[in-house]
Amino acid sequence: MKALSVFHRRWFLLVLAGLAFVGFLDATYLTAVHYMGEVPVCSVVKGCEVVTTSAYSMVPMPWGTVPISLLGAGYFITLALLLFAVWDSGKRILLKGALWLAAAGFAIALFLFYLQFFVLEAVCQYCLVADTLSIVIFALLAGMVQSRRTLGR
Amino acid sequence: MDDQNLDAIQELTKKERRELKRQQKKEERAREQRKSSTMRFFAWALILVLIGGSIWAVLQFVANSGTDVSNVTPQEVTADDWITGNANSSVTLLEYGDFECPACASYHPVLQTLKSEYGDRVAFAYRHFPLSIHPRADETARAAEAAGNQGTFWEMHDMLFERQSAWSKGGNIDDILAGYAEELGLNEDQFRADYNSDEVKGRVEADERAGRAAGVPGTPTFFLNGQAIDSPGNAEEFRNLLNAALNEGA
Repeated sequence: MKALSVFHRRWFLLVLAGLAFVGFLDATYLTAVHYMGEVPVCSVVKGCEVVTTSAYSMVPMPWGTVPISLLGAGYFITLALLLFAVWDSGKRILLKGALWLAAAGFAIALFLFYLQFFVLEAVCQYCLVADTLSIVIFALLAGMVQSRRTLGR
Repeated sequence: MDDQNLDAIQELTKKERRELKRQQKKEERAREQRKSSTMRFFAWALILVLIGGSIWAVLQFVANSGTDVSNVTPQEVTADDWITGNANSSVTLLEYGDFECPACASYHPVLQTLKSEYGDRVAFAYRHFPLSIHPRADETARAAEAAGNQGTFWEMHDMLFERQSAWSKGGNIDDILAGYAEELGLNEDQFRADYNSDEVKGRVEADERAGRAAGVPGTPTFFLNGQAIDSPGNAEEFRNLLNAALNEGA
């Protein structure tokens, strides 16, 4: 019998939900800065304003244009709650939903990495943290789903 | 008959015992279910409280994280500064700016409005504070100084802020800036020479050094009558500050 890895442990879902929660805090911070930072400043120590004021930072939605960080916050909190629900209920359908959501986040994170490094040529630490979390969560979740499948559970 | 009786009693107790066991199991299951649903309820409640609390904390953090200028050393406007408006006025508004800073560019129209309204009563000054995070901040600061050598500092200053989105994107910055100089009707050879001169580089560096020594936290940082102020959010807040300063002097 194959040894059980962390991928088979139920508590690992809570770790993933925790990572998504960190992503949520990060994106919430960026969103709050966008809406509350009424006085824009280019700080000596931070270099986010190039990225967060670029044309790519705003996304047109049916109800109006919103900062991408708001969508990020929504994505992360949905993912965190979904993962928590999987931990709580053990329902496969929820796990599948979380995997698809994380896959979408993964694809968008790759695109945002590309934008920052190759188009804007400016990086924002807060954005990098969020993008990295999306990628890590998807990789771990995919690993988890895969190892459950091989166990036939 | 005794045997029969004994059997009956045993039968009864067996049945009773089984019944009792079943009852006990049922109760236990119910209790466990109650316990787990209470646990689930608390787990979800805890999560929701955690989410609400952290949103609140982040909002508080952002609300309190405005740039602090209380420790910035006062900076008086001197004759060496670039001044527009009424250079002789006792009321001075000095800006430490960076041409590549989006925040400075967004303040530019506000300052243009103020210059047109208070140009006869207030001295508006500008100093360079090119931030290292902006790759073209130093070049553009030198371009403004070089244009200043031919008497068009403020024209170049305005042009750089108004066209920030164009020149900050890419292309050969030296040629772009020379093109702007040409547009302003400057002698291009002279402009290029000044732009690369040690004198111009030194002036930009001197401004930056003064800003660092004063503890300027970022751009734009405004000094009203030498005193660093929290950047006003709009033209109206600026007007209130300027009016108060003008009344004080009167």
